[in-house]
Amino acid sequence: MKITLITIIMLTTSTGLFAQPTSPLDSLIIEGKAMLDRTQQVWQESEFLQTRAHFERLLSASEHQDLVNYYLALTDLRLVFFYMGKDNKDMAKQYVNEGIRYAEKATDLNPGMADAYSLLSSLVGNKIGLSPMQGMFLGPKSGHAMQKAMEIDPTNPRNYLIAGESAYHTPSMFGGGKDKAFKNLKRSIELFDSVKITNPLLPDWGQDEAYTWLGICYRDMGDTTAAIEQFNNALKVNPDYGWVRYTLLPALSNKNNAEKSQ
Amino acid sequence: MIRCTNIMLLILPTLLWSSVAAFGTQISGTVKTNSDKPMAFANVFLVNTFEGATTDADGHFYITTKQNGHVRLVCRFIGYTPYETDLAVHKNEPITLNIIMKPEAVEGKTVKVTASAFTASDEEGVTLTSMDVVRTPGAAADLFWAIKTFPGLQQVDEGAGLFVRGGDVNETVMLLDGAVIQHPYKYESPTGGFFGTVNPFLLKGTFFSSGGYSAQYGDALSAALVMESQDMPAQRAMSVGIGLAAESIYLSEPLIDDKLGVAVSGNRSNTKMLFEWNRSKQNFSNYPFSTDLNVGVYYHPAKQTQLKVFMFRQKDNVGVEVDDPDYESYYNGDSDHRFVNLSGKSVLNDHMWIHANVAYSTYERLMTLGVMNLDMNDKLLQSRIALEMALPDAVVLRTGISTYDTRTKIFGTVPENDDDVNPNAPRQSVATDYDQFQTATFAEIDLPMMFGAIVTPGLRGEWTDLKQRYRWAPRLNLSCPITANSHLTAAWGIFYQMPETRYFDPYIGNPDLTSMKAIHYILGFQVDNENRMFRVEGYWKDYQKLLLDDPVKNYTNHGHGYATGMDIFVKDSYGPISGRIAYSWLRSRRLWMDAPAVQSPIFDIPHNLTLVLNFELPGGFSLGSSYRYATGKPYSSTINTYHDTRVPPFKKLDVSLSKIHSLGKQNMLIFYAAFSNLLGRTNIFDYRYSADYLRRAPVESAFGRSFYFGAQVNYN
Repeated sequence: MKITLITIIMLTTSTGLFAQPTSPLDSLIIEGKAMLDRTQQVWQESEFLQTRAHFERLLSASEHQDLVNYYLALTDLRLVFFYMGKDNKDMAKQYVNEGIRYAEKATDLNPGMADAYSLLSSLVGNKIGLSPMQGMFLGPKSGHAMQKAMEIDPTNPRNYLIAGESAYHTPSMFGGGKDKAFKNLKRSIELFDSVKITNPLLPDWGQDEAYTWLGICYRDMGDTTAAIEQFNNALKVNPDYGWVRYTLLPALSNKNNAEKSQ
Repeated sequence: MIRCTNIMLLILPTLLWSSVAAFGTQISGTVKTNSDKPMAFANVFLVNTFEGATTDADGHFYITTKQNGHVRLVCRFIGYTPYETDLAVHKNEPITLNIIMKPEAVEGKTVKVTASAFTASDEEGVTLTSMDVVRTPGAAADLFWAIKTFPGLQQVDEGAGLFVRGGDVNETVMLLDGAVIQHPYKYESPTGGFFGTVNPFLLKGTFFSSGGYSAQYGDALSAALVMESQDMPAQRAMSVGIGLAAESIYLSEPLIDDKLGVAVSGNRSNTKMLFEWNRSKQNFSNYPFSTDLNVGVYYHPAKQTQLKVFMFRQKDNVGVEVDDPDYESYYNGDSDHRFVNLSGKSVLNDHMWIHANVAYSTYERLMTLGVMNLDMNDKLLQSRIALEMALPDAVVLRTGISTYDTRTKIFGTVPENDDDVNPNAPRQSVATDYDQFQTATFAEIDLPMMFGAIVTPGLRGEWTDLKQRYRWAPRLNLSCPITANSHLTAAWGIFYQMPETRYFDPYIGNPDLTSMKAIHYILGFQVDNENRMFRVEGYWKDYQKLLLDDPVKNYTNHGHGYATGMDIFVKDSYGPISGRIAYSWLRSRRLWMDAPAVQSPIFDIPHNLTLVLNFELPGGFSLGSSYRYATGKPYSSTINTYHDTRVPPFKKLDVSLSKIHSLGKQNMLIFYAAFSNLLGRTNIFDYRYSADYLRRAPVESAFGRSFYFGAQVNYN
């Protein structure tokens, strides 16, 4: 009892004694990443905006600005999805523009950061979705950013995840299509399995999304069993992934059961 | 138990000290919008500390800081100008703040709505992108033809000439990357020309103002068209196009990534097959033929500095029969246009931008028609530098200076009587060699007011060495939001324009001429929501000091007139269908040039209506259709009258069909076909009378029903 009490008090009042070998900024970036993960689970505006505010406050730091700008851009991308889901294109447009600005800043600060280029590609792709008339000019920009990301790091699983998502949403006549999405997502999953991130500050998100989008591809191809398997794989990585747990998987399971009963 | 208590006593002071230190000083308050609504999720933080908080649903925030002394507090929320303040923090002395956030004025672009403006951005205003130009049926992928489908433009003839709100075709100033394009039309004619000079695919953006425009632009009585060419190519791209009357090629290459790039395009247009295929009634000695070469070189010497050299050379020639009851004659025209512009823009710091350019252009044109035989040569050296500064409280100041050194030479013969170009008519020689140096300065400021309104007062000074004195042209623009998506706009301004240089010739003109003047009054209302837009605008333009024929001095500045009207624009889309309707009502009256009294000029077209519909069909097909109606143009039916009647109304239905075929990735093959004047109506634009006015010949459209087709390959 005595030891426990002392330990708790010491831990709560004098963190320096037991501090991890990271700077306060490192801890705040890791905290921000956890907040970002949580946004995927709860999918609430307040969580997104608090996460964004958290990273925005880190912009005045003297280190890791490539990462701070990257995570801000990633938060903005998710805000774009959130507001598009709410059919609020005005807000989505504002965040897509901000996201592009932060992603470009990240590439400026760290031209060797493949994740920043692939994120930029995704943001620009979403801007085309919001303003289709700009596709003619923005299309090459998005393609160029993805090409750059692949050149820098051909083993980055998020490059293939974003390429897969993009291909899924792009008609085949414009270079997309579900078969290309399928290939990219499969490759992404292979790389997630083989490439491990050891630095906790670096981007490591996306494995659950890769399984999810692969599941969606299987679902669209009519392979319900494989789709369910992929959705379950996503839940193994992220058991609290709300979209899969509460929307995609139940819908598919119900369909599957209905088919079996027939 | 005792031992435990002792340990607690030992640790308690440490615990208490730590708690006090952790609590620190509290900074709290409320964040509201300038319309007094609480702002949730605003980010309030202390710079360089990582300390901060987001506001709750009521706009309240609480920050506990360990700082002592001066700190900078910032409040941010997307779409609003960041709020910043310095605070003196003293230990344990709470601070309370009430923060008011104002909508962003500069970056937001959604707040300021300019009267009469058409922009090519995806933000506020009427959108006109390159794709809009190409997809406008009957616009022949020409920027000016597409602009003519917007309200406020009069359908005077089939050409590309922009007649804006009761103004003549030369009353619109056109700029490319900040440089004036003196001759913006191909196959120039008195009503402009048949096509625009600038290929829409080379443009990044287009801003068109049909009146009340900014103090940045001048020397134009009616309108301003501001074009910006493409920036550094992002990747290697190539496109090749071939059609019934034209071939084109475009290449772009980033030579050093994000540092140096180049883009080249060339077009060749030979219309012989087009006219023959469609059995045109027009006779030609030379079918319209043109070639052009465009080169852009892009260099980024520093991260936020861009330099661009954009140059083109265009040549065209045409020999067309002129229907005249008295004689048989051909109009022959050859022109050679060269333009080079070095432009640059740079971000000097977070609050200041600079734009500058220097350009040189030459234009030579040989033309013959009956007794008229002219060799015209224009040279223009121009420069411009402009600063844009973001000041506190969302105030934006723009200021700049520009210079124009023009040299015009005209040699040859012209008819003694303006209208009589009969080869046997009396003629007189012309030998004009004129230099003119003009300079202009401007300043304007965006002033945010209450309720999100923005007032933009501006002043432009124009000086020419011909008159040796400044003309001051004040401007005022107002944008006032009514609801989140609707705005009231108003504009007022004085606009000057020097007559064309040939009017200063002492033999055929008058060296004592001075600037013409127009005063614009505009009031409008606009609702804009995503792809939907409704806009209505009313205007009054008061013209003064217009050119007027004079039997002794050739021309004087005693002309005057007015134009008034209303423009309505509706744009909407529903799924794969999009469309727009533009209607303009106009009344224009002038005492000018050869008019004997205040009467309708040829561009007084009371009713203009354009309907455009585009359908996206499955399989990559796209179908477009446009219908245009315009009241007939005024003409003089007897020798003793002036514009006493009108030609029949102009009516035209155009349909176009395109198919995009993917070649993988971003590569595609586009097939297109266009049916112009599908109803086969013969539109009449004027009548040419014999000298005794006893016989006349109609001036008709070049084609009846016509068909055009082609294909383009885009490779990235």
